Amino acid sequence: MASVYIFLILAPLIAVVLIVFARFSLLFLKKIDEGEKEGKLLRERQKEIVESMVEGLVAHTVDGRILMVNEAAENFLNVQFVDVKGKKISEIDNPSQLLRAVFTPMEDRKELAFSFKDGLGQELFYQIIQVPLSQKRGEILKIIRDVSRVKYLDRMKNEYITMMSHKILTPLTNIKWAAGILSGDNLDGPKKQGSIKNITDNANKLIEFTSHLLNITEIEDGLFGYKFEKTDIAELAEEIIKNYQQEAFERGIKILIDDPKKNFYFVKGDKNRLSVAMANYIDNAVKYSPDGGQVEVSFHQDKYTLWFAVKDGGVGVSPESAGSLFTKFFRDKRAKAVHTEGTGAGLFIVKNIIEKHGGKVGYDPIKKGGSIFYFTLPVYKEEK
Amino acid sequence: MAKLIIIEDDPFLLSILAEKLKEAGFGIETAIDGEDGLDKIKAGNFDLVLLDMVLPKIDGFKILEELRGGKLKKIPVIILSNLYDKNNIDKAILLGAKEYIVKAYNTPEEIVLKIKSFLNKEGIK
Repeated sequence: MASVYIFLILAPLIAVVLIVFARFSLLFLKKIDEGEKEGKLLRERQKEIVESMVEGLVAHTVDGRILMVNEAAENFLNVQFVDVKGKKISEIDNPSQLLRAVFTPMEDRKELAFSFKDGLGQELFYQIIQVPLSQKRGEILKIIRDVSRVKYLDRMKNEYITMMSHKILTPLTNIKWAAGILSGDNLDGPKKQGSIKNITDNANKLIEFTSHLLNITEIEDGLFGYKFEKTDIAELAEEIIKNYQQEAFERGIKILIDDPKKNFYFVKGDKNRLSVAMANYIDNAVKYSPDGGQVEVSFHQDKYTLWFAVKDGGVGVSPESAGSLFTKFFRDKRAKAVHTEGTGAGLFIVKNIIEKHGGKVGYDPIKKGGSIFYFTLPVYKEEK
Repeated sequence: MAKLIIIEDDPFLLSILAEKLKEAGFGIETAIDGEDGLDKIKAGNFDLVLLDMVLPKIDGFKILEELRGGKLKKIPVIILSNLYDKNNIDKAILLGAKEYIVKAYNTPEEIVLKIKSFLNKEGIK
């Protein structure tokens, strides 16, 4: 009977203990499950991060067996991970140059620079960084960075500085040598005048060059200001052409202009900026025309659009350069062959000025030789 | 009297150099672009070529290549240029140029002295 009482007393206690134990067990199992889920999620995230990296990652053992290759590395190295998993470089068929570079012994070096030419002859640059992954397991991680773009920009910058230095040094040499002549004895009249003219011309070249550079900086910084007003394009062209008549006369070049009085060619524009654009076209046409050649300046308009065009019989433009003419500092090889000195900034400035006025710039080749450079502008509308 | 050709597209610099070198007793021929310069080198019998690098029609590097590959490779070439970055200097020297003189850093008189010194060193009179 006593054992029945004991059972009756203990049974609820045992039941409670069992229930509490069961609950804690469930909670514990849930925690383990959540931990596993979190761990799995973390691993998935890590995998996604590794796969979405722009840097190539290759993990391998100390003796060179491949453990992991991410997607970027697959692209860089032209391999699929499944094909190279567990293999050494010597066991891979036709490994790419970059893959061989990745497995070049780096010894104590942490970085390796590597470059090669692709099938199209374009030079590609890579940086390979070595990081010990696990010294205990003897694993190494190689990070592959494509630095071709950085190298390209670096080379462009250097070429740009070289070009700028040359463009500055040549007029300065002229000024220096001319000043040397002026400081000499027994100077005859023509020699003196020639030296003074040379100093003036070259100082002007430097001023023009500096002005181009400043214009470009202002355009790129959005500081190239405009004052829009009713402007007669034909009148502007007449004014500009006056400045080129002397040079044209000396070289036997005829500058022809459509009768500017037969029509009004009004646009809403900044007179100074439009003068810069038009002068650039006319200057190029005169500069690149052969002696005894002809430059034609013409206008045309319909209800909405005005066309301004300058035609010359000069060297023209290489067909492959037509698309790059209005790019900053671009100079076509034909232009360079005629005039070695030129900033390559003029047409870029023209394009920016005209587009700011809602117009477009363009170029048409002439089969017999020469070019037509034109721009369009919206015609002036009286504001109501 | 050594015979020199100056290939230089800047008419003012060309005229001064030619004048100073004539005064120094050299026989001088001039060319204002690369094409004319190369033709004259081939036609003439020069002891020294003074060559600018940035030239119309054919640039100085192409002229050096042409000279190196042909019968004229023994004619010494001195570069007179305002391209003075290491890449271009190395490239010109690699293509066979004997010396590289930066115009802006020298007066015409200094250039004449350098040319005289070079010719003496080479035993050209």
